[in-house]
Amino acid sequence: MSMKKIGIVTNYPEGVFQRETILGVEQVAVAQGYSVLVNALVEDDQIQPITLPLAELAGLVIIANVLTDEELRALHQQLPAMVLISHRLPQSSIPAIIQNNEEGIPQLVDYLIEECGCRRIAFIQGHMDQFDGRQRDRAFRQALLRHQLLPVPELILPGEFDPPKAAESVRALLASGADFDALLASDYLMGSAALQVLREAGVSVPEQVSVVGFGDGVEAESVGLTTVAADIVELGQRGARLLMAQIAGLHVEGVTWLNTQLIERDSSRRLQRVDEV
Amino acid sequence: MQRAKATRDQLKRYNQQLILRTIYQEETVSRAALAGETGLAKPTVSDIVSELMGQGYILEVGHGHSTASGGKRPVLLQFVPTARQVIGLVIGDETITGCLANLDGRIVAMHYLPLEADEAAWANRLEGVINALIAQQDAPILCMGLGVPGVIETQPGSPHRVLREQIRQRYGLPVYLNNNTELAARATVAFGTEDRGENLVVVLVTQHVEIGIALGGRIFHHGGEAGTLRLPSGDPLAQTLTTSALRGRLFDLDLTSLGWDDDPADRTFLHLRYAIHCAQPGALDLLDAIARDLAYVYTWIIGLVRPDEIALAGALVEMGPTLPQRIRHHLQHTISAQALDGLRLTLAEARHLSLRGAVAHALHTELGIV
Repeated sequence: MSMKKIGIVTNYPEGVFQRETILGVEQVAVAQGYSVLVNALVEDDQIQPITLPLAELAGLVIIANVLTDEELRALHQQLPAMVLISHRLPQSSIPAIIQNNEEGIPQLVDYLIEECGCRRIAFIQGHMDQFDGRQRDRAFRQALLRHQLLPVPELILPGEFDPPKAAESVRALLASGADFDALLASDYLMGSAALQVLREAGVSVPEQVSVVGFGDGVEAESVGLTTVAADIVELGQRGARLLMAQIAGLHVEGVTWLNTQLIERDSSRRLQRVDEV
Repeated sequence: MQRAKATRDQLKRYNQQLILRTIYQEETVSRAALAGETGLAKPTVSDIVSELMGQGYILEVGHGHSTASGGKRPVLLQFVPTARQVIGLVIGDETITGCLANLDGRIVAMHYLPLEADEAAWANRLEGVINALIAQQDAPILCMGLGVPGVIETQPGSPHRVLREQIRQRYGLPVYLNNNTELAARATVAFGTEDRGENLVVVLVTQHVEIGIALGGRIFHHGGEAGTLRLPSGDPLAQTLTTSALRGRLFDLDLTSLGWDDDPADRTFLHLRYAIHCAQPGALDLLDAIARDLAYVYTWIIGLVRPDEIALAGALVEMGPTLPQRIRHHLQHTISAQALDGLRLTLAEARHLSLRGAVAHALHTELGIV
């Protein structure tokens, strides 16, 4: 009897986010007797077609916006058991699971303003074609409004969830002489890269600039980056559990949002209160 | 009238809830201290503790200090919030929101699904959300709390009772049903600050204007939505004070003086808050209009209930503290200075208040905690 299989479709399986998501999916799937086939759709920066044997799969996990909306709908016709991770398709019954951007980004903004005394926060955007990128950008702007602040156009930096791109943006910001006292990156890998650039430029962190990022991992820990934690392995695990329920024939719909927790490290520092002096 | 005697099962359940609530409220506690606090006999306490330990709700976590007279150090007991999980569900204006929560009320995951206006579709959509949450459970599910808008119809065969019964039979779990505003009041009481007074009213502004009342910590049955009440202008509240009515007024605001070229359709009450902060005239006028209308609602509430606090919940909370300040200004014209002086006007702090209330209601009813 052939082993039960599920498939994962992603862009760069070697990326930290993708790797940990896949790990979470595999932990749940293997425990339930499934093997996992991973299909990377980007090779040498070229988009490749799906090569998974769809007819043999019990279900499919799609990571991020690796497929267009039309491609997702077409796939769902073939394979009803499907889950989207870090992506969602409006007006569709495909269940999804995402990090709670609307909680995590305001957590970081509130922390920088209320605890660290920052007022001019530079923001490194994610990929604005991706759901997470757009939602984190919106959450950042809303969080600033809550503190009666407007986003400063020259402090909104392109990052595209690409650490080298983020680093280049931070260098350009420093070269411009713009005044800022904090930097919030849409993901922790861009945050870690930004932290490196600031330190190399002789900027004192956190004394001159506090740096924080969304999401957490070994890289953030190693450079001492303050983050809000969206457990990516858990994201994969819960996504897989949604898939298993569908494979079992259950009607599953909607979007799961995973909550975040603040993890303080050396890249930020709370203001000392008067009663602590 | 003769009162029915409590059955043995009812008494056992009551005592279990009493023990569990006492352990839940203390960080750690010994069996002897439990007996002292609850008034139950030591053998009864020991039996119940053994049962609760067998079920995983509590565990032994080391030893306390000996008493003054010496003797063995007592074994300490601690509540295990991850022993079970509870599903909270709220049917809102446009979405079903669900959550998985631990027994201390901490939400582990939330789940959303857009909802059609057709109530006939609720059961099917709820099933999709419940299945999604059950698939992700980290511990056995104990029960569910469900919030719905509007008045809860209690007569047999009513849609609410049918819905609850369908879910209960489908999943074999207790389902505790309540109105969303009452749940918001419950959450405010259950998870609020300790300096809160005994009598609290929550005004929840969504597509409706609803009122939840907590007197002496007890939540009272919500009698109807206030949107049909008329303001002195003759307009019903539902035409002026619901979020859709107010969003229309937000859309019409001219904010170009602030240098914004935003799409008015994207505006939220946060934008209004910022415009108020910048003293933009149109925004200040809108703040005043909203505060004046809310002041009428608050006047009715104060006249009936004399609460210690009125908390505003819903999207209007995003307008920030200037809103209750302005409401207080208008209340000066409708209630006595003495009544106003002792009254707290606040904004409900937590998001998803009704959802947290659904969890609190389920935990309170099932385990006697929270």
